[in-house]
Amino acid sequence: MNKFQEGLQQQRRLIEQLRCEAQITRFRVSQCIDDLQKYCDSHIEEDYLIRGFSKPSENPFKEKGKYQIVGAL
Amino acid sequence: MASEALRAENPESIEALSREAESLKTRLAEEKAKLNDVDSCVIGQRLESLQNFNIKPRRTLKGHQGKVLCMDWSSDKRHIVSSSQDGKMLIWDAHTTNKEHAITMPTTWVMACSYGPSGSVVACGGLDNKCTLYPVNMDEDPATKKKAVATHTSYLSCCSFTSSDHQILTGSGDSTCALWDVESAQLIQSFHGHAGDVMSIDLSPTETGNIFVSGGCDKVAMVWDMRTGDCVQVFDGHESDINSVKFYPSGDAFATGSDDATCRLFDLRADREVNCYKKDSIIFGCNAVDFSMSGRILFGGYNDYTVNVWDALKGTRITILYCHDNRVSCLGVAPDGTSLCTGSWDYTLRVWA
Repeated sequence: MNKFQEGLQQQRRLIEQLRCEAQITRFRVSQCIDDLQKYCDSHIEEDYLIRGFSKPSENPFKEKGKYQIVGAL
Repeated sequence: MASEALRAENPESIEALSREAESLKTRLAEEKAKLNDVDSCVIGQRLESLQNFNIKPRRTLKGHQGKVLCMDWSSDKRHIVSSSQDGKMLIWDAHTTNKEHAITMPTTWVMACSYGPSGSVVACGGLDNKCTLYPVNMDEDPATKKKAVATHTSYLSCCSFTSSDHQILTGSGDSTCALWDVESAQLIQSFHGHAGDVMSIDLSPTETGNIFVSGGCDKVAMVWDMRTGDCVQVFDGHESDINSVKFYPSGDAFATGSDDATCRLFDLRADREVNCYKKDSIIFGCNAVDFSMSGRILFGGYNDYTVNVWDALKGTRITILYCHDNRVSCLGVAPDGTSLCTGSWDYTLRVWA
């Protein structure tokens, strides 16, 4: 295939791609952001990196030792 | 020149095609602009700031003798696989920091590694252009049961199992992505469209999704239909290589990290960028991104040795995590959302919780 034919094929592919994209149903940005926020709000209580752990012992990476000694006393 | 002679015979076609492409592009831009009815910053201002963000470095994983390039969590929320420039892949017990397996690859720069959903197999590859699977059971040497599943014509940059251990998706420096059957090591579907190295892929978290997103050195992110191999959406905006892509937990949007020192949020339904995470003081590229469980926090690992913690909805920076002595190359939030693991060119990984 020579350069010209290659260029032609590339253009055809691009147009096909653009036609596909033109057919997409789009939503308003405000609605999309609102939905992202709703998802976040409904899952934020389970987000340990934000809410933390209700007890430190629930943290799987909490250094052990100190609390065990206190427990023994 | 032969091509000029040919062009003379077809004076119309290539110009006509270019014109059509241009008019389609204009129409698309107009459509997208019409729906851009609000600035995400305005919505963000209404939200309350996150208070008491307080995660600490809890574990340091030392053992690699080269730059850490990639990491992935096991579904058991305890084990981590990491790969390095020294050609080693290590399996860690993150709770105890013990190394449970060390696998030596026939190549340096192992740029991709990934846990299978069952937790009993890992996949990796890099400059060998291959994706190789290793079973990881305590009683056997993984190297004796290794299996090469995928082969590209350039380096393997990323890999990810689909919902089972039976299929794996790969991305490569040959600018393609490919879906492979693990059992037969056969290509199921290839994905052509990027005009540069593919650097990162992420599968949709929704069960019915059947889509994945890819980002690459051509500065665009593409959304693909896994069944047909078609690119269904293209997202531009970045001014340099996209190094990392990650879906928002709802699957409606995805974040990117780029060499242009920004992270961005692209919404699939709005079909455009809806947020950009940047600061004048941040001038180094971002290598890796991941969301917290709810999607509210976006972690970015940067070349200036830091992790920037962004409020994904407000677009503001919450804090900076300092701990590494070189580039942060990879990061990932644990599957249960309790902790964050970061990997760096300083040869170590850290676990934060």
